[in-house]
Amino acid sequence: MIEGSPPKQPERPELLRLLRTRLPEFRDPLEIVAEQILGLESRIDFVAKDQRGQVVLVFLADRRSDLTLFANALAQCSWMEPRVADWLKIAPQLGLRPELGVRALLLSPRLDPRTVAAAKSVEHPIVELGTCRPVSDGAGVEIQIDLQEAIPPTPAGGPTASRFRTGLRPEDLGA
Amino acid sequence: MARELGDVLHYFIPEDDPPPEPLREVQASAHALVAVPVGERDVVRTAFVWNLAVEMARLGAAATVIAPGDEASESLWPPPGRGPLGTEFVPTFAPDLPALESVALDVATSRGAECRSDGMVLVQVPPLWLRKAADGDRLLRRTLLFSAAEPRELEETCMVARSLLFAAPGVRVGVTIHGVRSIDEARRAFDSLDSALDPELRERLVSYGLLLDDLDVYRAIVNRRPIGVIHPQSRAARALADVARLLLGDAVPAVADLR
Repeated sequence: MIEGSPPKQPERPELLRLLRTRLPEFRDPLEIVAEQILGLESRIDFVAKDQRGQVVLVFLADRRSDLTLFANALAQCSWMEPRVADWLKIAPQLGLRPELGVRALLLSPRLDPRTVAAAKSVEHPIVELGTCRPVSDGAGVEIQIDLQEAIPPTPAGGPTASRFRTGLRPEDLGA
Repeated sequence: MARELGDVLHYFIPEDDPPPEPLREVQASAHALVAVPVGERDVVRTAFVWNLAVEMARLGAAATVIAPGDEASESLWPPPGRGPLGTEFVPTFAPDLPALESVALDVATSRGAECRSDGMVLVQVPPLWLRKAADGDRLLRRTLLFSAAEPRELEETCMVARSLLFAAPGVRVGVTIHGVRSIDEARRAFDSLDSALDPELRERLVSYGLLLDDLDVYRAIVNRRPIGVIHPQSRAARALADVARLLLGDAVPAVADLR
């Protein structure tokens, strides 16, 4: 993790420029397909696709705007979802997979606990959350992105009996 | 004019429906339907569907595969008609889910009436059509999802399963984990999926074992021959036979299931 004193908050265009270079470096890399496109009543910062071809809408929130932007992310996902198949027809080389639906990635300098709770309770579309903070690396300003785990945790209450079924034995698979 | 009670009885008591006996006779013999969402160009999962049908035939059941598609997807399937061990492939140009459902019910009923033995009809459903699941709820009552064990894909499978289970109370969704190396890995993947589902939906999520994506599977795809025919003792063939057995064990005649 990069440590540094809190630098002067860069302007939003600069943050977007920094974010653009970071998206392809994620563990599940995102390839940018379009930027600042006009969605439903407002613009979407980045339309990207992941390695499987699922469309991912990326939103960068300003400080304290994450809760509002969360609702916007849901709306834009539902606006985008029926359009992906058309995009694929226009540009098949993009390799988009409409059947996977659309998910959103919402990045914010700070996440309101209400945003986190809301994201956990919404099952479709999936809205992933992450923090995006500027940090000084000595020579300039970089951004530090920490994504939250997207997979729902196993519910509390201890292990339960597995309902997995198979008639195979380990030796059937050569184990 | 005075009227007898019999003349006006139908105002108060619903009249009987026509006797359903002939319909019941056909329904009782219908083959079971299982919808399998698979992308039209998904080579590996298409191969799984066809190879499961072959394994069902090896177990003594009649097995039919129905797939909608275009010319590009045709190359992934065997030629139309009877195939190895009496399996059958039925291509269709059904343009949407209701049309596919209609074809599937016709085939399930007619094959059941023809052979009078246990059987199953596996129906490939383009995943995009699941968005309007309510249009094909009779076809989707038994749906089998293939899922790899990666978190992202499990998440996606969970999402599809949830939407299907919410679509109708009678829907049951089966999941077969593929691309794993061990039973433990498949169990862990299924358990994580199971635990991510809402508790009230879990009892309608059913495990259907695991499948391997190993070299034998790819060889069979390249050679366009079923794994169970060219490598019947392979690990992949054993896993396919196990899933086929589980599916046949839970089979419910298609049309009888609709009442």
